[in-house]
Amino acid sequence: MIELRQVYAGYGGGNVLCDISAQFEPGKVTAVIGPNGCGKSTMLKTVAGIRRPSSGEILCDGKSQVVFSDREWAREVAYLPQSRNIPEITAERMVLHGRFPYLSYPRRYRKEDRERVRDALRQVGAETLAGEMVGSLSGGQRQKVYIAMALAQDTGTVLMDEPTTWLDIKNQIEILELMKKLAENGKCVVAVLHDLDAVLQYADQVILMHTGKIIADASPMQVCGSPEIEKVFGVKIEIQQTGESRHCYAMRADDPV
Amino acid sequence: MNNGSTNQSGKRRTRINQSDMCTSRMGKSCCHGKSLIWLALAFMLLTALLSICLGASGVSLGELGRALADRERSTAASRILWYVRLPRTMACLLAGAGLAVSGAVIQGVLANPLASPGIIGVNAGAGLAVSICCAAGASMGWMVAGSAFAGAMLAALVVTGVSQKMGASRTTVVLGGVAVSNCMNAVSETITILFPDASIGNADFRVGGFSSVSAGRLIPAAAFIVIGLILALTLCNELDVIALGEDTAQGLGLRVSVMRPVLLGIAAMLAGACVSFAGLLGFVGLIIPHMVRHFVGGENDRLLPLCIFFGAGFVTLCDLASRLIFAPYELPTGILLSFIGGPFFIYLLWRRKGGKAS
Repeated sequence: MIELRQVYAGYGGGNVLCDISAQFEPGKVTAVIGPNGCGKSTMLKTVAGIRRPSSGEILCDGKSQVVFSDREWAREVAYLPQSRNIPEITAERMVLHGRFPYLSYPRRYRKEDRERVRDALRQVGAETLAGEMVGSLSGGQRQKVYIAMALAQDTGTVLMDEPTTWLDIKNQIEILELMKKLAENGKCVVAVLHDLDAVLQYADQVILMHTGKIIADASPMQVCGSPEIEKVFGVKIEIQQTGESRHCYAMRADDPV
Repeated sequence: MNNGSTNQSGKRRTRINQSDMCTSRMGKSCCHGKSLIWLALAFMLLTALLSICLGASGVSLGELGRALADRERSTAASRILWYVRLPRTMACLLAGAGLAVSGAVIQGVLANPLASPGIIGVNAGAGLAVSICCAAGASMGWMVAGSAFAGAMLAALVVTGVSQKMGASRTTVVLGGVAVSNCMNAVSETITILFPDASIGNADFRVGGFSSVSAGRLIPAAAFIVIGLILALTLCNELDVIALGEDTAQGLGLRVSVMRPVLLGIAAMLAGACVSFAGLLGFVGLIIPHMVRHFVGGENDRLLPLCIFFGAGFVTLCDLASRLIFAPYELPTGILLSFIGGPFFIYLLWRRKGGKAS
């Protein structure tokens, strides 16, 4: 379990995150929502250890982040950034680098690492892509390979920054189902999402952020039906139930907020 | 069902689009890489052997054996072999390997296919340091190699420092490098004019060549190069991970702010040492890594060894040709390298067409 206690963090001088306290629990998909630039990515980066909090602390299973080395932290928390380079390597090799935090002398990946890679690729349904160059994969395939890399990292927590953005609808669903599956297998999954429909259907917990603060932290129904979410996004939101699934409709607010 | 069929057609399409080279890169890439390494090694050894045997006076294989065994250096053949051919061949091999790996490392660290020791100013920095050394009268050995390393490192720090301040886009690094290169070359030129002595024994320093290689300069530089190569090979996974992007690398527990300067330092050490005896042989660092990447992709545990062998072999071959084509005249190797390398590089770019240069 990951816990943030009164975390402040930011770039250079100013703080982007103000007084963030939250818990990400294993077995749950936690969705982080909020307008662009509200600090969602910064929060994920801070939890991933890429940015250090300027005050407050982050705990993993009760142990503070500061007692972990970078490498040790990478064995607890995997992070899929929003933007990344496309390396000229095969998918298999990229997933293999998910084992980087476990790499020891003589600086070579071992047989066990390769087995984990095969396992991870199988879990995301991308075994057939192993030998393909990452650059030749489609967006959806690439996202799966990245998730396989996070799985190979063998962490309790997986942070994903907008994993479904840029993907077509079928790939979005596949990635969301995969997130759900990971959570069911006991991982703590945290994802920045923009699609409130997806949030309603796949998230167990929703954190709504605005200007670096957490505005709401509750179940999807509670957050999406709250007046706060309308205020934060400046839109009117209506939830409709059709059979099993709920859908979320956003409309322009009649009177500006 | 639907899923399967779209996947299938997608794959078929890539098959057709890719050239033969790329197809073989996909499936059996592992064996492919291994046989390529042996091929590259054989290529290097062959060029080395030719470089030792051929020249103004040829040495047959039988003579070579005898000359090598001749500890007294009593015959002319053995003296040529020991004092001319062997040092020169060693110099070619080392410079080729060093510059190629330096280029591969720089391209990887900066995630920039345009970068190379020549382009980001590392060579110019080393060249300036060597000029200063020669002007100051310290033209031998460890002094030159050490200061070339310092000059290369300085240039690398200035270029990456400046471009980091300005946002570190890929173009800034290249533009900054070109600017720094030019400034440093200008200073070097001025020094060679003010201190004509500095250019003695360095006739083809600007284009790069091996006609004035001496053991005194080669040995310290060789030490730097061997250390640099070993370090680069040890850190090949780190290099791969850095190429995944800064955030991904950090997420995998690699401290980019530490590892990036370390890797650039290794690249600067390699390039600096090479420049200290071979001159501004910049092109090798750009084209060899590209050439090799074209065949095996960007996985550094294969890329770097292949760069060593191909780089060494290619430079040796060019040097050999530069000695033979207009014999008894000799072209500076750098000229020939550009002659062969330039068109070949254009050919590679041409074949790549789609331009996945990202």
